[in-house]
Amino acid sequence: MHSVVETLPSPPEAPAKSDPPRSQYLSNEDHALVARACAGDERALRHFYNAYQAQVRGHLHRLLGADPDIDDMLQTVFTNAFLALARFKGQSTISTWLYRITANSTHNLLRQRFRRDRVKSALRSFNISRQAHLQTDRIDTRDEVSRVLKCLHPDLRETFVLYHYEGRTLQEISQILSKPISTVGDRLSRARRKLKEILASS
Amino acid sequence: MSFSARQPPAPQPRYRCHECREDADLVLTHRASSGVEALYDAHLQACADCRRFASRLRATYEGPPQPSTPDLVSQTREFAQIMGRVDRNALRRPGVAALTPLLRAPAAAAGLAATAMGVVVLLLNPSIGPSDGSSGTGGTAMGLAGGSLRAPHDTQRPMAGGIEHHSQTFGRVVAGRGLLQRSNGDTIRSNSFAPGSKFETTADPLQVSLAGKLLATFQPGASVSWDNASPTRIQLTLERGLIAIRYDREEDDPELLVHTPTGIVRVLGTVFTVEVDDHRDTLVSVLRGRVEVLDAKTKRHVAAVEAGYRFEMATSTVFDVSHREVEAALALSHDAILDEAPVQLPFGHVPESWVVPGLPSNPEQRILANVPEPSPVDDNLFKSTRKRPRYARRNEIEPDLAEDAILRELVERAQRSIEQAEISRDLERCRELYASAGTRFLAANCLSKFLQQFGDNPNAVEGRLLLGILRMDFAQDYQVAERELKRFLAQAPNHKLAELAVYKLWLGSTEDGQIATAVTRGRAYLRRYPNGRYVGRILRRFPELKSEL
Repeated sequence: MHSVVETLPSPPEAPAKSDPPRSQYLSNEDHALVARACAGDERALRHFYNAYQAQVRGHLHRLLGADPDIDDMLQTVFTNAFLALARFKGQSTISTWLYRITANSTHNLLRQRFRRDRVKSALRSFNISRQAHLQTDRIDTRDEVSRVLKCLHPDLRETFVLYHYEGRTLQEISQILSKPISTVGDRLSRARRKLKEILASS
Repeated sequence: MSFSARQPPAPQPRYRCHECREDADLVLTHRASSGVEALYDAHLQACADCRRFASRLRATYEGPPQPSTPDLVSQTREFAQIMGRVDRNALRRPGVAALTPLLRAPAAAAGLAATAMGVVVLLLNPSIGPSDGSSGTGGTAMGLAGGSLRAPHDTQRPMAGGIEHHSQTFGRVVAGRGLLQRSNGDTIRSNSFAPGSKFETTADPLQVSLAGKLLATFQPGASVSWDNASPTRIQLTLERGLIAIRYDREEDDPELLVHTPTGIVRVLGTVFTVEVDDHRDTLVSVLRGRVEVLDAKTKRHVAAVEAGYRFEMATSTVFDVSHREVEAALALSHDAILDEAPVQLPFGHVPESWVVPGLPSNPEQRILANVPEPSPVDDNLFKSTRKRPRYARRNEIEPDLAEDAILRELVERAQRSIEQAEISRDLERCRELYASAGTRFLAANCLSKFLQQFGDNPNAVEGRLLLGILRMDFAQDYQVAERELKRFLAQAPNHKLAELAVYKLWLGSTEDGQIATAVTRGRAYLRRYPNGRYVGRILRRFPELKSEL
């Protein structure tokens, strides 16, 4: 008599996991990476992190300036990204998708910082103008960049940073911020105008 | 008289500071015409204020400097923190689809396999029906009659965390052989030991359970000491060799530290191996979860090692885990986190929660033979270089020879029963598996079949005892062990192995941290068996019960 084990049928094949749909924005490697990361492969997630952490870190640095919360925010962005990977439909490149997650993740923080810094920057501007006669000709413009950017309203700052620092097109920024292109263009013009005003007034 | 006609000069456009600053961004972004650019440049030549303005505006358009990229170690730590957040969020948000297939797949596979097996078994042998009034298709992937083993009203008690009582700080030998010594050098002859004990293995591996919390396998040639077990910390020191540890840490459980000559491995709950090679270098491999490696002297963080990686501390390099580490840890392959079937026992496959690079994801193919072997293994690497005393072998402890003989007899009896029924031909292999400490955990598979076929037979009641013991030893699942032992005692209260069952009941409640229950059971044992063979072990953990004698 055959054993029970011998006569057991082979276990049914597990249904194939639904891969993300093919997309013009993703290379084959990106497809494979996302599929493996969706399946919970920690090495794929690490690969994902390695590939994009510099982009996210740089973007956060340019967006928030030298902020002690950048590391925490970076973790938040990747945590949100990993948890949302299964919902990524490939309708943009991974980097654009990450910019969008970054924008959503930093939205509240940017506004909090802006409100907090507005008073501080006003006081600082006042002090600088009072001590203008003591200043030398040498101005450390690099340090000024972060300060000037912080004076921009978060909406304008996001657009300016994405366009001028990250090299995104208006179309991509429109995708990232979920705003019409006309709004993005308007924000960009306002950001440039505001920057000139800030620099001229200081 | 002639007059030279002098043409009036062409009017120069007014281009002052205001216009210059208006055009500055156009020029910087190359959107200005060449004429405007010329005027702009000319004005800048003459106006210092506008030059300064233009310089600052250019700097603003260029952006702040690129931040420095953290080093590999910091990145690894950061990734570990991200994964920690992901885990917490995934658990908090049950609807999260991403990253949870690992948590769901085994349950689904177990369900499918159990259904398939249940259907086939019922088709082949219609006489096997549901018992205890529960469904016959409620079995497990192992084919155990789960319905008959799990009462409908059973509820899962939350695992007790932490070490609250002195009696929980003991360890015991589960399988294998080795040399056990107290801190003063005396040889330990019992299979129960306290913190401060030292272990040395020669030719065979030794598997021990420490504080009822973690299961460790010491590979041949290992020298380990168990330094401490407190509510906050369990400490081991590895002098040489390779050890594999599974620590399914509950909330409030102590953290685990493994000290080596060059490092400290800090664990919060995972499956991993640590080895100290001939050069006294530390190598840490992680199969599930993650561990943190600290410098032994400075106590500073060196690296966080993720699942699937092997970290060599001497060179700070990371490799994939290999065949060797998986082999060492395979005896710990029970997957408590993913195991939703309470009577399922390990059966030698690499659990799906273990990250082993190159190993197929198909559960059937997740066996040791398919684990890639990246480099040849030097067999002499872990052989002890010290000359061993000739009498060492005689002093080696075995996991309670009498109890071992009883369990062995139970397996053989199960084999005979199944042979009589002409059901399985694999039982000879099963018996061989049980005979070796390194593969004993695999014997549970044939016992599962035995119980599936004869679980309701009064003559097979010992199977419940054996299942309870194996479940307690290899899965540290004290609840199922308690249930099986109670059923054994209910069915055969005067069985010759009832004393063993009563003792195991007491041991399970002690290691599970159910101290009040343990005291009651210890008292019951002492009253029933005042001259029993386990009296000493009970009194050692609960000296207050001496008055019962």
